[in-house]
Amino acid sequence: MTTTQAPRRKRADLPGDRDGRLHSVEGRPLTLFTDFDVEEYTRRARGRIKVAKNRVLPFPADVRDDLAFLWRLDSAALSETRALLASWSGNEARVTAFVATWAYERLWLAHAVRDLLTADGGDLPDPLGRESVHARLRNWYVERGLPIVVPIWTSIAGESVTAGHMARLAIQEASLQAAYAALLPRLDGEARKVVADIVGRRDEIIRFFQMEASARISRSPQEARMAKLHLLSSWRPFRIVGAPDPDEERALASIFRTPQDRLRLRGADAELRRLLLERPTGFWGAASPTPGLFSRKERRGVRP
Amino acid sequence: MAFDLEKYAETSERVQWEDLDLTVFDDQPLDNETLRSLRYMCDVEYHTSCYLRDLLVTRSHREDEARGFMTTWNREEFWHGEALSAVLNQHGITVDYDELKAKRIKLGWQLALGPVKQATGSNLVGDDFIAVHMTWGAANELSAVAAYRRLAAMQEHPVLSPLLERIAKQETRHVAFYTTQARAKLEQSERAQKIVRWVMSKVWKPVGSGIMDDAEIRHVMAHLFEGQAHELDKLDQRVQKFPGLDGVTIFRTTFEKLGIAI
Repeated sequence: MTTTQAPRRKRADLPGDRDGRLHSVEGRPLTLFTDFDVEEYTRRARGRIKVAKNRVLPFPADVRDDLAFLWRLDSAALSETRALLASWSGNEARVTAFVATWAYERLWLAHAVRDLLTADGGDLPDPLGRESVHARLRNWYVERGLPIVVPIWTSIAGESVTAGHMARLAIQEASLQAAYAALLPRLDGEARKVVADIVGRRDEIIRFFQMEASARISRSPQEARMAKLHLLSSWRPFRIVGAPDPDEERALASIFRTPQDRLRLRGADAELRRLLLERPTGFWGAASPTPGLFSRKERRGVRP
Repeated sequence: MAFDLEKYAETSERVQWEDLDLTVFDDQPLDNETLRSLRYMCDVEYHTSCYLRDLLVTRSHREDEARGFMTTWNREEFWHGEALSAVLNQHGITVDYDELKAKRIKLGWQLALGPVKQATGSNLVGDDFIAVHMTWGAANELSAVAAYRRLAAMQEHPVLSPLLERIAKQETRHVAFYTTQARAKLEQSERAQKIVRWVMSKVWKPVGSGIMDDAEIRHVMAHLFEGQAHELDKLDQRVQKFPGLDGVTIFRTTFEKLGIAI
């Protein structure tokens, strides 16, 4: 994203232009910034992870099922994107700039796991178990209800909902990283190399979501409350927009089979939950979240 | 034309402009009419996330091919916005996060209710709604290619024209995807053909409508296509090749409605 610079010559004169801007007011920031460099991240987007399929050894059945569970989650990035864009968070240009690259990177993470699972020429495994009634209802809501309900309520709530989104995605990404890391000791050769790459690539992604969530939680009590609301115990990180996978119970018990694995998983949300108690993180830019569309407050920084 | 999604995603790269000397604009600046059109194009590219959202809330997002494409397409369009904003910045026009956010906030309920309308249409129409999206997308991308190439030809600028040609080249791959998908969906269902024919004839508006002000739409369309009936007819002929859309003239009709002399 081009940063504001002093013009080197007379500014162009477009209709409605004021100080080179059409919609915002110079010196009245609307965007929250953290130390995470979104420009750099978007510029350095990471593409395909090469998988030497002929060097992938056959997986034991339980490892194959665990990887398939994680593949289903990783390949659902666009479902998470859908939920985010349908809400107020879709207005946050810095967030949507990040998400454009994040979704692209997730596409390739999912493709890498798919390539491992299909290296033997077989099909992707179906989930073990049947979809529960709760999952069917949740999927129905996500498919048909969410696009109608979420844009309305989040437009009333305003920017503070973004704190909740960022907190959820921070924890989801850290949990997925913990899951892949827990699988590593059960993998060999090419598969181990590929999964280690997936774990490593997530560091930057987690850093963005954690910093974004932390800064927003720090910025205002209503954003901290919204983050808490989004992280109620009914929300689980290993679900696609809240819908459980049919194989969830077995897969999680299998993946997090050692105390160390479970400890790492608990660490995935420890930092944010601590912040929700302390709210200490620094930020700059917009000093408060933009209010919702029913608010009578002046929207500082937005020209009429 | 077949579309290889895997190949498309793997060969997708952000549009490059670092090799172009933007300081040339200091000596050869663009005129205000052109800058106004570029500003429109830049906004539309950056606001692709809003169009993506409208696509995702329909059943289109369940299609495996569509999911992979939309992810890559959204990223490429974001970079088109970046490239155009670099040109605008060289002329003292700022398009940054605050500008984009302010525009989205100003659209208010109009923007917020977009997904509600799309989802309701999708829920009512069912899978045939995907054909609407794919045909609409094809028409938008076709017109985007034509617009970039037209502006490049009009300017013959040593920096702007090559940049616009690069963007247009990427847009042609988007045309290929939407065209392939639209044809497949329309061939599968006569009902889809009837719905798409009605929507494209009665509802379709130029790319950017719904986000940009009417005055800006009219400016850009007149700036680029006034007196260019043959260009618009070529676009209409491409759309007429879609199953069930023979005889439709969406571009010519829309320009007549806008009152632009073509």
